Amino acid sequence: MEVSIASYIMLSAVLFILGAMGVLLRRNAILVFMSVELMLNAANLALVAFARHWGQTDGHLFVFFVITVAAAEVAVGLALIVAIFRTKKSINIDDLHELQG
Amino acid sequence: MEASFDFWTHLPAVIPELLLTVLAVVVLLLDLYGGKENRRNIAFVSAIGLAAIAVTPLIWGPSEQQVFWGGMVRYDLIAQIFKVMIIIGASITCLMAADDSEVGHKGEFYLIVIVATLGASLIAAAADLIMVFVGLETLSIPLYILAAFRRDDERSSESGMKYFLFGAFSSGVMLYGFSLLYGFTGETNIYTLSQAFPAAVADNPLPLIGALLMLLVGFGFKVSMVPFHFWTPDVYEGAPTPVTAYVSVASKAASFALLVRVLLAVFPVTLVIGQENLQTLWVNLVSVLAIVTMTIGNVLALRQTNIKRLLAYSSIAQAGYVLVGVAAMQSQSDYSVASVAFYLLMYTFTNLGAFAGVLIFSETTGSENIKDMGGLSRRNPWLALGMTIAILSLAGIPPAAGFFGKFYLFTAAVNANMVLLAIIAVLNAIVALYYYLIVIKVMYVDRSQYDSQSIALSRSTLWVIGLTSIAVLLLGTFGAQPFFDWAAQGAQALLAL
Amino acid sequence: MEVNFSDPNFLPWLIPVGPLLAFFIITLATNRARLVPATSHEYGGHHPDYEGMLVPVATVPSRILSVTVGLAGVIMALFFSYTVAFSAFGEHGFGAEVVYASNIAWMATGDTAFRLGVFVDPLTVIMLIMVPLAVLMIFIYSIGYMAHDPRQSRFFALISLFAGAMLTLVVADNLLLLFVGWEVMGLCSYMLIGFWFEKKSAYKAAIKAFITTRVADVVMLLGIVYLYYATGTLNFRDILYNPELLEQLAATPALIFGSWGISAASIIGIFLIVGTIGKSAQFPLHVWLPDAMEGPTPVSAMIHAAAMVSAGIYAIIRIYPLLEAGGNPHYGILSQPMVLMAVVGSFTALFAATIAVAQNDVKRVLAYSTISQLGFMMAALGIGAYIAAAFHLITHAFFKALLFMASGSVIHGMEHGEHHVHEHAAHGHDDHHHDDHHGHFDPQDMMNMGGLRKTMPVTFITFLIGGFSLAGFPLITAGFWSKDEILADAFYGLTKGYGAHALVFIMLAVAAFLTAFYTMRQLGLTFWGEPRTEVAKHANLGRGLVSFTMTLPLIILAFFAITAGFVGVPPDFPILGPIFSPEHNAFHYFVIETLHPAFQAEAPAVNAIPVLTSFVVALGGLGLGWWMYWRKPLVAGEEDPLVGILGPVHTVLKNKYYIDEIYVAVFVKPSQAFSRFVIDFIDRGILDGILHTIARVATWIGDLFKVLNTWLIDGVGDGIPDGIFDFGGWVRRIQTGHVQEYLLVVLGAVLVIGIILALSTGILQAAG
Repeated sequence: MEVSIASYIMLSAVLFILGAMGVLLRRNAILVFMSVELMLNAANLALVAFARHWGQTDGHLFVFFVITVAAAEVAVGLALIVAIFRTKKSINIDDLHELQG
Repeated sequence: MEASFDFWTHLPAVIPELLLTVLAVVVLLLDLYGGKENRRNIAFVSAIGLAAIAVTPLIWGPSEQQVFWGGMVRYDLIAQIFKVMIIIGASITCLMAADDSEVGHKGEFYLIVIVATLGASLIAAAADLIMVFVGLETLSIPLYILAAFRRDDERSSESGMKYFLFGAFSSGVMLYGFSLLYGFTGETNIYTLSQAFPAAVADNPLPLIGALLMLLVGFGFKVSMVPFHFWTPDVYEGAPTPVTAYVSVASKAASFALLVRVLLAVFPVTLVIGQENLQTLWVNLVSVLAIVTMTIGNVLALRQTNIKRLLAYSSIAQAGYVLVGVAAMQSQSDYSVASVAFYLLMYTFTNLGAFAGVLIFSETTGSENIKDMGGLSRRNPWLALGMTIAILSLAGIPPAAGFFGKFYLFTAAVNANMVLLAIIAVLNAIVALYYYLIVIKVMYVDRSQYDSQSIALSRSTLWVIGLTSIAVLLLGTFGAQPFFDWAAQGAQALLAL
Repeated sequence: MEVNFSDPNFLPWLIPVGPLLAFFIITLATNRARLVPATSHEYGGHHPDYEGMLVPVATVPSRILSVTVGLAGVIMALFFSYTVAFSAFGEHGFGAEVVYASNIAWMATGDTAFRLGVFVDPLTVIMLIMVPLAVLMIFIYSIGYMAHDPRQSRFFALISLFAGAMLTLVVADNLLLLFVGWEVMGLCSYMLIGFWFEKKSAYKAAIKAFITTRVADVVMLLGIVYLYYATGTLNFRDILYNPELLEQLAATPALIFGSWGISAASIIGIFLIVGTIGKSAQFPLHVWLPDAMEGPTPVSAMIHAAAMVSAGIYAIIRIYPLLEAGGNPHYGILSQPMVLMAVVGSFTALFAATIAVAQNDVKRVLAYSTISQLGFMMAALGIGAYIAAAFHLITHAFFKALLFMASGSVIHGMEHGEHHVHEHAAHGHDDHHHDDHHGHFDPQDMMNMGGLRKTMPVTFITFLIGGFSLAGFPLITAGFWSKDEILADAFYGLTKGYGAHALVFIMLAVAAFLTAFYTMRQLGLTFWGEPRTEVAKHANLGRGLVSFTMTLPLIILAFFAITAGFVGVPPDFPILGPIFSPEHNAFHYFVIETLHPAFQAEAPAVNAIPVLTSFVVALGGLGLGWWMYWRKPLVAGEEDPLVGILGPVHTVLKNKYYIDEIYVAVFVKPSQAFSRFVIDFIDRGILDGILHTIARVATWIGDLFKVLNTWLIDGVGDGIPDGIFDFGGWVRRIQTGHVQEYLLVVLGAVLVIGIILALSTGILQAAG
C-alpha cells in the first residue's frame, strides 16, 4: 500500500510540534535536547518524504547533512550540560537565570 | 550536474574557505605540538593568517559571477565583500583575545573561531538551502562552545547553554521551513526556488507564508531581531568578551548577507501568488519588525548598568537599523543592499573597537559596570579616545563611520518611499544618543573607585583599538563614498541574477 | 586625480599638507609637558587662581621638536607653493586657457556627485607667493617670541593648523572647501587669541572674536547654500568663468527678497560679503579685531596680515564676478553688493583711521589701521578696482606683518626692560618712580616708551620702513603703489561722474592722510625723543637666538615692504614706469587673467591728479605727524597734544565711538535679559516640563513593555492563573533569564505574526 505524502507530512508535523513542546516545557536539560532532536528528525522525515514525492535525491542529501549537524550539536550540547552540572550541580534549565534584565 | 565538471574553474570560488580550513589545521597542530610557551603566539598566527585570507577574495576569484559547486555557492562581489568583513572581524577578534587572560592562552579558542568563520564565510555565498543550513550550523555550533568557553564560570556556561537552546530551537524551526520549501517545489537552490512557486502553490500564498515565517525564526535568531532577540543580552553578558565581539559582528554580518540574498532570491519582486505580491508581504513584515527591534533595543538599553549588556541591547537596536535597509530593498534595491553592506562593514570595526575597549577595561578592573568606567580618560586617554570613537560611531555622530552608515540606510528608506520608517529610525537614533553619550560622559567626567588605577594597553590591544578607530574614522570621512560605491557595485552583482 | 609629483595639477593638494601634518604630529607626538607648581617662575608665577596646582610646561626637547616640525611643515608648504607658482609663471596663457586643477568625487548627492578639489589660477598664485612666505616669517619670529612660554609646543601646533587652514582656503576650488578652511581658521583664531587663557581679558577677547565672526559665518553659509541651490555647483571656475550663468543669476529674482528688486546674484553676493565683513572686521562687525590683540603678537601678525583677515578679502576677490554680475562698474553701473562694499569699505577705512589716531596702545593702533586698510580693499572692490584690491592685499600683508612683528619686538623689549628694572630694584637700588608702575605697568602703552631707536635700532628701522609703506610714502614703498592704484581707479570713475567712485576717492584720500599721520605719531611716540620711563631706557631684545629669530623676519619683510610694490608700477608712470614695467604692469598683466574676458578692464592711464593726491596725503600726513611728535618729542608726563587740539572729540575717538558700549547696551544687555526670560519661563517652565513628560512617558513605555512581557511569559510559562493574577510580578524585567520562556514568547510572536499575515492576505484576496 502506498502511503500518501500527506500522511508523512502529518506525522512529521506532529513530531515537530511534540518536539517543540518538549523544548518549551520540559525542565530537564537532557529531555530538552532529545526534544530538539525530535524537531530535527521531524524535518528529516518531511525531507525524505518530499524527496520521494519528487523522485529526487536532493532531499536525501539534505537529510545526511542534517544528521551530521545534529550529531555535532548533541556533542556540544552534552558538553555544555557537563559544564553546567559541574558548576551548578543541577541540570534543571530553570536554574539558569543568573543573567537577566 | 554539468556535463563536464572542471575542478579548476570551481576551485577559486571557495579559496577563502579552503585557506580557512588549512589555517584551522595549522592552528590545531601548533596547539598540539607547539608547547606551552608558544600558545600566545597562536593568537598572532591566527590573526595574521586570517588577515591574509581576508585579502584573497579580492585578488583571486573566478572570472565570472555565477553559481559553483553544483549550485551550492555563488561567487559574486557582494559575497566577497561580506567575506572580507567577516574574516577581518575574525582576525581582529583573535588579536583582541590574545590579551584575555581566560581564553587567550588556549589554542583551541582560535581554532574554534576559525571554524566559525568558515561557516560564516560559507553562508555569505550560500546559494542552496543545504549549504545555508550547513553553513549556519558550522557558524553556530562553534559559537555555543565559545560562549561557554570559561568552563569554571557559571555565567559563561549559562550563556552558552542559553545560546545553544535558543539556537537549536530556531534552527530546528528553520529547517522545517526549508523542508516545506523543498516540499512545495522540489528545488533546494534558492535561485530556482521562486520559479517553481507558481506551479507548486497555485493561487494560495498561505503555505509560502508559513515557510517564510519559519525561515524568519532562524534568521531572526541569527541577527537578533525582536522578538527573536532574547538570547542576545544574556549571551553577550555571559560570554567572554572577545566572543561577544565576534558574535556581534562576524556572525551578524554573515547572517544579514544571507537574509538579504534569500529574501531577494526566493521572494523576488516578480513573484505574485494569487493577488498577493510576496515581496510586499515581507517588506511590510520586515518594516514592522525593524521598528519593533529598534525601539525595544533602545528602550531597554536605556536601563542597563552593565556595559556589555548595554552593547547587547545597542546591537539589537543596530540590527533594527539594518532591517530598515532590508525593508527598503523593495525599490532601488542596489542602493538599499549597498547601504546594508556598508553599515555592517562599518559596524564590524565599530563594535570590535568598543568591545576591545570593554575587554581591556574589565581585564584590568574586573568590572563591567558602566559607573566603574568613571575617569577612564585619566586612566588611559587612548583607550578612552578609542572607546569614544566607537561609541560616537554607534550613535551615528560624524566624523565616525556610523553617521554615513545611518545616512545611507535612512536615505534608502526615503528613496523607497518609506518616509515614516525613516522618521521612526531617526527618532530611535535620538533616543539612543542618550545612553551612548552617558558612557562617554562617565569616561570623561565622572570619577570612580578605580580612578587612580592606570590601565596599560598591550601591543596587540593597541593595534586593535588603533586599527578600528582609524577604520571608523576613515569610513566616516574619505572612505565613505568609495566603500559605498564598492558595495553598490556588489549589490548590482547580487541583483543581476 | 592622479598622484604625480611632477604634475602641477596635483601639487596644490600637497600645499596645505605640511602644516596640517605638523599640527597632528605636534599635537599627538611631540607636545610633551612636565608638571610644575603654578607659582613656578617657568609658568609665569603669578596666577593666584592656580596656586597649589600643578601646571604643564613644555619640556625643552618638546619645544625643539615641535618648533622643528612646525618649521618643516611650513617650509614644505612654501616649497610646494613656489613650485606651483613658478610653474604657473612659466605657463603660456595661464588663467585664460590653463589653470591647475584636480578634484575628487567626495559625496554623491542624488544623481550628481559633490566634487572637492584644488584649483590654482593667477589670483591663487599671488596668494601662494605671499601667504607661505609671511607665515614662515611669523613662524621664525615665534621661535624667539614664545621661547619662554610654557605652552610653546601647543602654540606651534595651533599656528600650523592655522597656516594649513589658510592654505586650504587658498587652493580650494569651491566655496565649501573654502568655507571649511575659513571655519578652521575661526577656531584657531579663537584658541590663539585666548592662548593666554589665564588672563580674563584674553579669553573674553577670544569668545568675542569667535562669536562675532560666527554670526557673519552663518550668513555666509546661507549664501553658499543659496548659491548651490541656484547653480548646482560651488566650483569657482564653473560659476565665475561663466558669464552666461552669472547673467542668468543676475536676472533671476531672489527668493523672498525678489519683490524688492534684488536678484539671486545680489542676495548671494550680499550674504557672502557679510561673511567677509565679519572675517575682515569691517564696520559694524569690526569690534572683535582690536580685542584680538590679547593674543601673542605672532598671532596678531597671523590674523591681521597673512591669514584670517586676508582670507576675508581673498574670498570676495575670488567671487568678484558674482558680485559684479548685473552691473558694470566701469560704466558706473554698480550691482547692489558692490554698492554695499563701496559704502562699507570706504566708511570703515575712514572710521577706523580716525580711531587709530587716538589710541595709545602700540598694537591697537595697528589693529585699527588694519581695519582701515581692509576697508581700502573692500572699497576698491566696490568700485570694480579688482586688481588694485588684490595688489593692496599683498603689499598690505607684507608691511602689516612686519609692523606687527616689529611692535611685538617693541613689547618684548619693554617687558625685557621691565624685568631688568625689577631685578634692579630687588637688588636694593630702590627707585620710587618704578614703584608707581609696579603691578600695573603696561608694556604696550606708547606713552611709556620713547627713544627706543637707541636700544633697538634694527626694530626701529624696520618699523620705520613698514610704517612708511603703510603711510604710502611716495615712490619707494610698496604701500604707495597699491594705494595709488586704488585712488587712480576711483578717480577715473570720478572723472566720468560716478557717485560711488567719488565717494570712495574722497573718503579714502582722507583716510590715507590720517593713516600717514597716525603712523608718524606712533613712530614718534615709540622711537623718537628720550625714554619717558625707566623701563623704556632698558628696553632691548637681549642677545642670542631670541633676538636673532625676532630680528631676521623683520629684515626680510622690510625688504618686501619696499620691493613688493615694484611689480605693479603702471607702465606709463613717468621715469619709474619704463624701469619697472618696460612692457606692461606685471602684476596687472598676470592677475587680470583670473577673470573671464567679459569682466576684464584696462587699468586707467596715469593721471596727475590721483598721483598728486597720493603724494599730498602721504607727505602731508607724515609731515603733520612729524611736526607734532618728532619736532618736539613728548617728554615724560606730558600730555598728548592731540587731546588739547581735539578736545571732547579725542575722548570719543579714544573710546572708539563707544561702539562696544553701544553693542553692549543694544545687543548684549537685551539678549541677556531675554535669555534670562527664556531660561526662567520657556526653558524651565515649558521645555523642561515637556522633556520631563517625555522622559516620564518613555519610562512608562519601558515599564509597559516589561509588564507586557512579564505578563506574557508568566502567563504561558508559569501557568495562566499565576501570570494573570500575579500583578506583583510586573516589576520583573523583560529578560527573566529563563530561556524557555524566551522561546515561548518567540512561538507566541510567530503565531501572532502568522495569523495577522494570513488574515491580511485573506482579506486582500477577498477584496481582490
